[in-house]
Amino acid sequence: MFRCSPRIDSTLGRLLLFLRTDSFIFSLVSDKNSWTFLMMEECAIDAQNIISISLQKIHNSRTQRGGIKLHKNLLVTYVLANARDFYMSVEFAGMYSIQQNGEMRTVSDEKQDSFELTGNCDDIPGEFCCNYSGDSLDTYHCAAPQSAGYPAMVPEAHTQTVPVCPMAPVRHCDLNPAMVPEAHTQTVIACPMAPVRHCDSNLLDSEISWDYYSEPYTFKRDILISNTPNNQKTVLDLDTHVVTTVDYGYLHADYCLSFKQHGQCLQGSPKKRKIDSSYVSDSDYLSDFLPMSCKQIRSEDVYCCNSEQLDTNNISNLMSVLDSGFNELLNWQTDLEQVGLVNGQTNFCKQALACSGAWTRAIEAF
Amino acid sequence: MGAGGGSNDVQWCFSQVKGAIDDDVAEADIISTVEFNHSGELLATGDKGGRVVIFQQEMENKSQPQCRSEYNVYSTFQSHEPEFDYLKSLEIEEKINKIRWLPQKNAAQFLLSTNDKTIKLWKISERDKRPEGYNLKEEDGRYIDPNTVTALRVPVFRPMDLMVEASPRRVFANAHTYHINSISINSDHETYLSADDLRINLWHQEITDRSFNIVDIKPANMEELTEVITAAEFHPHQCNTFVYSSSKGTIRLCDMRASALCDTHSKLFEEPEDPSNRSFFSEIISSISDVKFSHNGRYMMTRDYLSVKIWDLNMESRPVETYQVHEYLRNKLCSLYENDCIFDKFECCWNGNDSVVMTGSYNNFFRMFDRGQRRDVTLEASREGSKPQQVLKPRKVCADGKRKKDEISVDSLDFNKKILHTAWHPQDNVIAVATTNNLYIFQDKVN
Repeated sequence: MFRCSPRIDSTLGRLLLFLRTDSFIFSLVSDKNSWTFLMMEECAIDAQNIISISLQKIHNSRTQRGGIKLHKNLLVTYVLANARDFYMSVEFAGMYSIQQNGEMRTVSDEKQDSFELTGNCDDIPGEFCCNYSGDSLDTYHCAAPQSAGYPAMVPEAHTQTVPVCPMAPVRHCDLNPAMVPEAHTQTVIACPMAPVRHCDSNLLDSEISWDYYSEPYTFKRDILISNTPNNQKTVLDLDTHVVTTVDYGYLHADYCLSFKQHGQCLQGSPKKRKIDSSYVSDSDYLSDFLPMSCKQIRSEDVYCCNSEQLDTNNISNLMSVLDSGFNELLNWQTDLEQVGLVNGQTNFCKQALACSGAWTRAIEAF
Repeated sequence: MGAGGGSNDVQWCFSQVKGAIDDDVAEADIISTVEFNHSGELLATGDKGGRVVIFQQEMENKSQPQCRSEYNVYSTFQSHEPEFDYLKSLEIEEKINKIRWLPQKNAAQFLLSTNDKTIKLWKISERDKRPEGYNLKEEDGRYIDPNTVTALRVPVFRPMDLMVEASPRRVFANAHTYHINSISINSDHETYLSADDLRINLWHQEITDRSFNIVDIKPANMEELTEVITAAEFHPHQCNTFVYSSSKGTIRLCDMRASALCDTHSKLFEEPEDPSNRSFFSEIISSISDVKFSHNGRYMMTRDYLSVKIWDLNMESRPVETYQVHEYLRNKLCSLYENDCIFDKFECCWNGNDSVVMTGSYNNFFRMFDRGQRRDVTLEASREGSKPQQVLKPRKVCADGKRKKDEISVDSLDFNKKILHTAWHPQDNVIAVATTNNLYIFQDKVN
C-alpha cells in the first residue's frame, strides 16, 4: 500500500539529529530552496507513511489470533511517536521557514502571526491551537514514548507571551478539569486494541495507556476530528467524552462518547506526570504556546457523560473517527502522488499544508 | 568453526532434512522452537499447531566415526490445544513457544513445553516389553472364566516393538496474565522459571498449584509502561542467579538471595545507543529477542534485530564482542517494518565449548561467528544443497550495487524464508536449523 523510500531510512537518523541543531534552523530559514528542505519534506512524507502503517498495525492487532501482543504494540507506539514527532517538527520548521522568507503566507501562517502578536489564538485553526499549562517548559521527559502535545480545549485564555520556537511542535497538552465547564466523571474501558495517548492535567506530555485486558484507564486528550471550511474544528474530548465543534474558539458538543473509568473522577484526580530521564532524546521540543479562548459546550445530542455503563456505540464511533481519518490519509497520499512536485517545493508546501488536517487527525488520534 | 575450535575450519555438510517438501506451508507446521537435550541424543521441535516432535540419534552408528548418525522420529505428541479464555474473550494459541529438557534422572526423559499461558511437564518413556501369560486374561484382553483354569503359570515379560509414550505429568497453568516467552530449568534440578511480558514466576517441578513471582515490572499505572520482558534464563551453575532481557535492550542479572522479589537487579547490562544510528525504528531493533548463558557461565549472549552481542558477566557497561548479523538491513528498516519482519524474534545459541555462536537470518541463511578466530560464515539451509555429505557453500550478501559472482543482492533476499530457531549439539558439531516448516540437520565433514 505504501512505498517507502529505501534511502530515507539511511538518512532519517542523520536528519533527526540534524533537526535539533540551530544550524538546521538557520539554513532552513536562509535558503528555502535548499536540498535539505526538500529532503525534509520527503522525509515528512515517509514519516506520514510510517504513521499510517503504524495505525494500521494497531488496528489489525485487534483481530490477531492469540490476543494482542503487548510487546509488538509497545514497539509500534514507539515508532508512531518517533514518526509523529518528526513529522510535526518538519511541518513547523517548513512553515516557519516559509514565513521568514515571505514566500508564501497561508491562512495558517496568518493565524500564527496573530497568535504570536496578540497571544490570542481565537482565529487559529485546530492544528495550531493549543493550551498553556502556566508552566514554562524547557525540557520534559516522558516515561512513555513522547508525543507531540495536542490542542486541548481550555476555556480560559492565558495571555502570557512566550517565544514561539519554530522547531517545536505542540508538545504538551494540558487539561485542567477545573477549567472545563462541563468536565464530567467518566469511566473508561480501555480499547483492547489501541494504545491510547492521554494528557493529564498538570502533565506536560502525553502518555500511553497500555492495558489491553479491559482494565479501565483514563482518557485525557482531545482528538481533532475534522476541519470545517468555516474555521471550525471538531474535537473529541476524551476527558469529557464530548465531541465538540469549535467555531472560532467556541466549542459545540455534537455527541458524547462515554467510557468507563476506573472508579476515578477525572476532575478530582489529576495525575502527576513522571519524569523519566531515559527519554531525553526529545528534550529539544519546546512547548510554548498560548491557550485557546473560552469554550462553550452545547448539549446537542449529548448523552451519558456520567454513565458508568460501557456504550459500545461509542467505541464504534471512536473507531469510525479513526477510520475516517485513516481513509483520508490514504486519499491524501494518492492525491499527493498524482500532484507531484511542481515548481519546486512551493506548491509542495501548499499541498502539504492543505492536507495536513488529515494527518493531524490521525496523528492526534494516537 | 566447531566445537573443537582451533585453527582447522569446520566444513559443514548437509545431513538430513525433516518436514514437508511442499512450498505451500501449513501454518500449523511452522516450527516454533528447537532444542537438543543435555546429551544431544534427542532433538525436540515444537510447532504452531501445538505438536512436539522428538528425534533420536541412532546410537549404534555413533561408535563408527566414518558413518553419520542420523536423527529419526522418536515420538510425536500433541502438547497443547487451542483454548479460549471466556472471561477475557481471548483465544489462547496452541503454538509451542519453548521446549526445555530436564536433566535425565532415570530411564525416562522429561521436558517442559509451554504455549502462551500454560506449561506442561511431559514424560517420554519407552516400552519394549510387555507381560504375557496371564491366567485370567487372554492375550487380546478378554477375561477367562476362572472355572476353566486348570493350571497356573507365572506371567513373564516378552520383548515387543518399541513403543515411545509421552504422557503429561504436570500442568502449570493460570499463573501468567501475559504471554509466556521463556522457560528455564534451574541448575538445582528442582525449580524452573517462566517469564511473560511483565512477570517472572518461579516454580517447583512437582508443585503445580503454586508459583512464586520473582520479578514484576508491571507499573502501577499501565500508562507508564515503557518496556517488557523478552527473555529470561537461569545461570547454568549458580542456582540463585538468573537474567532477563527487555525490549529496551537491557539485561538485568538478579540474585534470588538478595530478596524474594527481584525487581531490583544486581547488575544491569546496557550499551549506550549510537546517536548516529538513531531512526524511527531504534527502539524496535534494540529490543533483545533472546538471551543465552554460555556453558561455562562466564558470558551471556544477546540477540537483537541486527546483531549478536557477547557480554562478560563482570562488565556491565558494554558487550565484549559484537557481531553484525545482517547490517545491510539497516537501510531497509522501513520496508521491514511495513511487512512486519522487523518484529521477528531471532534466537541464538552457543556451541559446546563456547567458541562459536550461531544465529539465523533471512533467505534461509544462518550465520556462525567464531569468537577465537574472529571469523564468520554465512550458510544456507536449502534443499538445493541437500545431497548427503554435500559441503555447504558459504554465502555472501552484497550490500552495495556491485554484486560479484555468487553473491546475492539485498533486494533479492526472500524475507519470507527466515531462520529464527537454531540449536547446537552440546558436544558434537551437529546443528539443527529450522526454516519455516523444515528442520535441517548439518554436521561437520568427517574425513
